This record gives sequence, C-alpha cells and structure tokens, in this order.
Amino acid sequence: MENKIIGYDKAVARIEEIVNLLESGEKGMDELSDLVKEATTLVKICKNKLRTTESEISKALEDNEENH
Amino acid sequence: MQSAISLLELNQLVKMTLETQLEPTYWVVAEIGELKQAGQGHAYLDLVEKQGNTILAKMRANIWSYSYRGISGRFQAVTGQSLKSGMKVLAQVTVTFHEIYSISLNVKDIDPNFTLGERAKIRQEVIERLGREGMMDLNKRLLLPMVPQNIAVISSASAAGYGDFINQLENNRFGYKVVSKLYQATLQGSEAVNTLLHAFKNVFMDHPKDKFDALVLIRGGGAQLDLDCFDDYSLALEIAKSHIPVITGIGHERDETIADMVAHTKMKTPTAVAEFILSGFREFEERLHDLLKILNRNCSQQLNWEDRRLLDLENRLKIQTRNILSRESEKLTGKLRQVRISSAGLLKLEQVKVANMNLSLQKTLKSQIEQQSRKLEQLEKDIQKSDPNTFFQKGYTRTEINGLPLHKLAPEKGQEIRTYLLDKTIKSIINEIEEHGK
Repeated sequence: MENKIIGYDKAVARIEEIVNLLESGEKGMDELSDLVKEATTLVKICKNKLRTTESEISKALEDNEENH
Repeated sequence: MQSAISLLELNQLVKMTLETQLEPTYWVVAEIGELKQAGQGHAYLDLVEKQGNTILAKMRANIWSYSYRGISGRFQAVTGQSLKSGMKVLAQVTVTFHEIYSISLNVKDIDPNFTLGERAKIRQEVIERLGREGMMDLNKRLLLPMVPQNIAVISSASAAGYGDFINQLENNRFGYKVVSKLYQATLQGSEAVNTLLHAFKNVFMDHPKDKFDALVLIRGGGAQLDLDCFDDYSLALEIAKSHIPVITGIGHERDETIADMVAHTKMKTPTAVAEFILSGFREFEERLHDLLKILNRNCSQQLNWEDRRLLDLENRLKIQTRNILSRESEKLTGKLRQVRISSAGLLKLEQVKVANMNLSLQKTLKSQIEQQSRKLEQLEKDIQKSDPNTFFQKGYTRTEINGLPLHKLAPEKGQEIRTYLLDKTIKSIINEIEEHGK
C-alpha cells in the first residue's frame, strides 16, 4: 500500500537499491523473494506512471496546440 | 467915346445878334449836369463839358414839358434808363436869349442812340480795363461752397426783390436753413455806387467774424430801372477782388451788367439766386442720398460677399476636415492592418516556436520516458536475473546455512545446510567438503 503513493524517482531509487542488494547476493532467500516482489511491484507502478505521464503530457500538449 | 445905351437896349442887341447870326438849331454833345423837374412838367438842367474834373463849358438849359414827355419816354424806351445827371447826351438845342434870364438853351430833342453808344463805349472801356487788369475771372476762381449756408446780402430792405429772395430762402419746401445778413445799399440814383461800395466794405469787415460762404448782390426787380451803377468800374473791382464768391441777381432782361460779368455766378433775378442757393443744398442732399444708397449697396454687397466667403470657407473646412478624418481613418486602418499582419506574423512565429518547443518537449519527454522505460526494463531484467526463481526454473538451487548464502560462508562438516529448489526445500548435513580448483 505504501508503495502506491511513493514518488517515481524514489521508486526508481528503491528499485536500483533492491537490484544492488540482489546483485550483492548477501540477502537470505525469504528476504530475497520479498525484495523481488517489492521491486517488481515498484517497476509495475513506475511503468504505469510512465504511461500515464506520457498520455497526460501528450494530452496537455495537444490541448496547448488546440488553444493556439 | 460911344454913346451909352441902356442895359435893355444892350440885351436886345445881343438877342438880335444871336438870332441873326446863329443857326436855328444845333446838335450839341454835352453832359447833363444838374437835372430838375419842375411842377409843370418842365425840366431844368445844366449842360456841361468836362475834361476830367475840370469844367470847360457850362450852360443852362430847359426842356418844355410838351417836348420833355416825348424825349424822356423815347430815351427810356431805347436806353432802358431815364435822363439823369452825369449822362452824356446828344441834344438838339436852340440858343435863346432873354433880356432878364440871359442866355440858355432850349432842348428840342435828345438822340438816345448817342447815349446808348456812348454808354456802350464807356462800358466797353470798363470791360477792357478790367480784362487788362485780370479782374474779369478773379472772383470766378473762388470756390463756391456747394451748401452756402451763411450768406451776406447787399440789397435794400425795402426792395421787392429782397423780400422775394428772403421769402424764397426761408420758406423753401425742403426746410433748408440759410442764414443771411443784410447790408443796406441804395440801388439806384447817383448815390447807388457809393452806398454799394460802403456795403461791400462792411461785408468784408464782418467776413473774418461771420465767415460768409457767399455774397449775394440783389436788386429790386419789377420796373425797368437804372442799372448804370452795376456797370461802374469801382463796383466791378470790388466784386472781382472779393474773397467771398459773389452771386448777382440784379433782375433785368437786357444784356448783363459788368457786375454780372465779374461776379462768380450770375442769376437773372433775386428769386433765381435763392433757387440757385437752394439747388446747391438739394444737389448736396441728393448726392448724400446717392452716397448713402451706394454705401448701402456696397455694404450689402460686401456682406453678401463675406457671407458667401464664410459659407465657402465653412464648406471647405468641412470638406477638408472630412478629408483629413478619412485620411487619418485610412491611416489608422492601415496601421491596424499592419499591426494585425505583424502581430499575426509574430504570433505565427511564436506559435511555430511554441510548436517547436512543444515538439522538442514531446521529443524530450518521449526520450526521457523511453529512457526511463529502458531503465525500468533493465531494472526489471536485473531483478529477474537476481530472482532465485529464475535459477530454480533452470534447475539451479540455492543453499544457505542459518539463512546466509553458502558461497559467502566457510562451510564445515556436519553443518546443516538448507537447499532451495523451485518447489522444494531440502535440509541436509555436510558430509564432506572438497575443494575443486577454479
């Protein structure tokens, strides 16, 4: 739940952190799986955000053009 | 010694001698000295001959009443004047001698034509003299005011002509006011010239004070009277030299007198003089009226003209204003068009800029999003790579001791290890540890 209101930049930073943690291989299996789950969720959120952002921006820009 | 005779005898002898020796009649040229008319109609006179003021000859004369009536009547008819002293005559006389009254002449006839010619001669001499002296036109050169309002009149208060003159002036139907001052003079007889000269002198004396516009010389009128004084040289001289224009109204029908000739203006009668003076007034007034009319016409013309000019100016002003307004309006429209065009250009430019910015923004955003997408994909891959399930599916396992990955530890014999597979966890005890060279 907490992840849903997290900002994009923070989310990406968290994903990178998680990737680093995963790559370091120092975490236990349970933790690993939780981290992967978290990262995957965050990626999903970020992707979603990117898409909405893109469409929002396109829409905004289109409105802009129409106004001119 | 001669024997004495009585006076009577002597006078009778003289009388007889004269009667036998002299012609019955003679035509004698002489001047009339004194002339008296007796009660019975006889005339008693002196005949004289003068050289200047000196008497060269003199003799008593008489005209019996039966002759006198005829003689004086004819004389007056021809010459226009009566016999009077100072007159040169050609008389037919008989020399008579009376024992008591001595010698005298009885005038049988007088030739009026001689007197006429004589007077004409004298008159001609006076005219010539005045001409020589430059007097004939002297008074005419003066300027007679058009409106002679202040005039001196030389006349006799009792003369009918004067009365007519004053009456005419005062009762003129135009109501003109003429101020006249009478200077009395006798207009006939031997004293006429002297009183006239005296009157002139008085007029000239008053002139500096009274400032006369004209001097009017008028005579009685009516009956044919003695006009000799108006042919007098000294009177003519006075008129000629006068500084006031002289107008004569001597009132006679025959040839003009010398006074008429030298005067500024000659009128036939006193009434005519009054008419003449008033006509100047009338002419002046008419001229005033005319001038007024002209003034009026000019004024209204001018006004009309100015009116038209104003109207014209007004129109031109209107047209000009309209022109200027429309010109300015066109200018404004032009400016507006320019503003529109240039602002439209600017706007287009800005639009293009904005569009470009938009485009580059879109591009940037797209690339950022792509970059982010790529990054996320990479991260996703990285996560997948690190995800144990990936390995498990490929058959790899993960082994931990006490929750820590085995490759980070130094396992020992007898230690319990936990091996994770895709769907199983295997617990086992380390039996042996072999090193293999890697």
